[in-house]
Amino acid sequence: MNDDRPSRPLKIYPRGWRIAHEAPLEGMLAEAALDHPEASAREHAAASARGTWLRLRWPLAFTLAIGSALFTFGAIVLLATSSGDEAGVYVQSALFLATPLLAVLSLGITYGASIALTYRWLPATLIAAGVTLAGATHVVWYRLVDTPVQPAFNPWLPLVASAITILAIGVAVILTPTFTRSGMPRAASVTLALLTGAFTAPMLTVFLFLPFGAPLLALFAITSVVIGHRQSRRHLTF
Amino acid sequence: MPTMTTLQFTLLSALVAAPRHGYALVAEVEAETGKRPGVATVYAAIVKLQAAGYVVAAGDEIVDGRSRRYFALTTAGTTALSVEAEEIYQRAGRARRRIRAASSTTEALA
Repeated sequence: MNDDRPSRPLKIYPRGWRIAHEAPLEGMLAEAALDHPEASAREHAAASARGTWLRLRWPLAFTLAIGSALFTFGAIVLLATSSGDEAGVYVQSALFLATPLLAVLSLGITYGASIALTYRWLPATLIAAGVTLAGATHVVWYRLVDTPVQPAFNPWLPLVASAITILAIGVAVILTPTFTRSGMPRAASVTLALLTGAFTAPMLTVFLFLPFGAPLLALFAITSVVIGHRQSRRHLTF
Repeated sequence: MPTMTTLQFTLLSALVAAPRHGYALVAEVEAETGKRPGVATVYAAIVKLQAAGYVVAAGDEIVDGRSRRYFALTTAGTTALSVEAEEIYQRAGRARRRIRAASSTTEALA
């Protein structure tokens, strides 16, 4: 057996992670290769994939957060320097669609890379979908508001209703376990979480429609990534 | 709603009796679940548990030129495991009661 083999997939891991964890993981891979040589290639591929993700996740979260801020900045510059409907559409798309979408994706990666024990895919996906839909709703509204001939079917209302519904369910899915853990019966927890979701989702949607909503969201994403990254380094999870 | 994954629960449970090294934990998870987990997956779960303060490194040793790191359960880890075990027990109880109720309804209708 080649003794160097278990160390090969670990070369992709971030340097700080390798300093803290390389020796024990390499030892585990070596023992696994002795016990199950047939699974060695699969183990190494899995270790490489995990290392690649560990190396990419923070740069990706940073890039998305900075990207969301740049879209906001670009929209403000465009707003200040140009006029006309075409520029307006770009400003709306950058400010109300691209900025929140990139910020939410950045927050999702930050949450996944945090020290939280479990990743809750369902609420994370629902919130990302709701925010994107709310942004799309705003752009559709902007396109239609000055149109002299309104279309027979205006998609604005169904879009905004869908965005609010998805965000409300996302908030409810986040809150239900918190209420249940506080000792509340399951049915009461779900009801209270849904009511809270129904109350907060319209406010969240209105916040996303406000001109300062996008810059604040971008700022929140950047701050979260910086704090999350520091916390991750402190706990040696990198 | 579980606050930890099945793998994290099994790892904490395996550490109750005594500290164990990483590869022993892989074998323990395989014995417990009947399915062999990936070594990198288990190590990532241990790192998360360490970050949460549920597990601490309890010394390294070299065996046949290979490094073994031992891990031990902390008081916070024992508490978290107890809470999770109790929740699973309660949920299992509810499921059993519902199954019994459904069975008796079916028998009554038959």
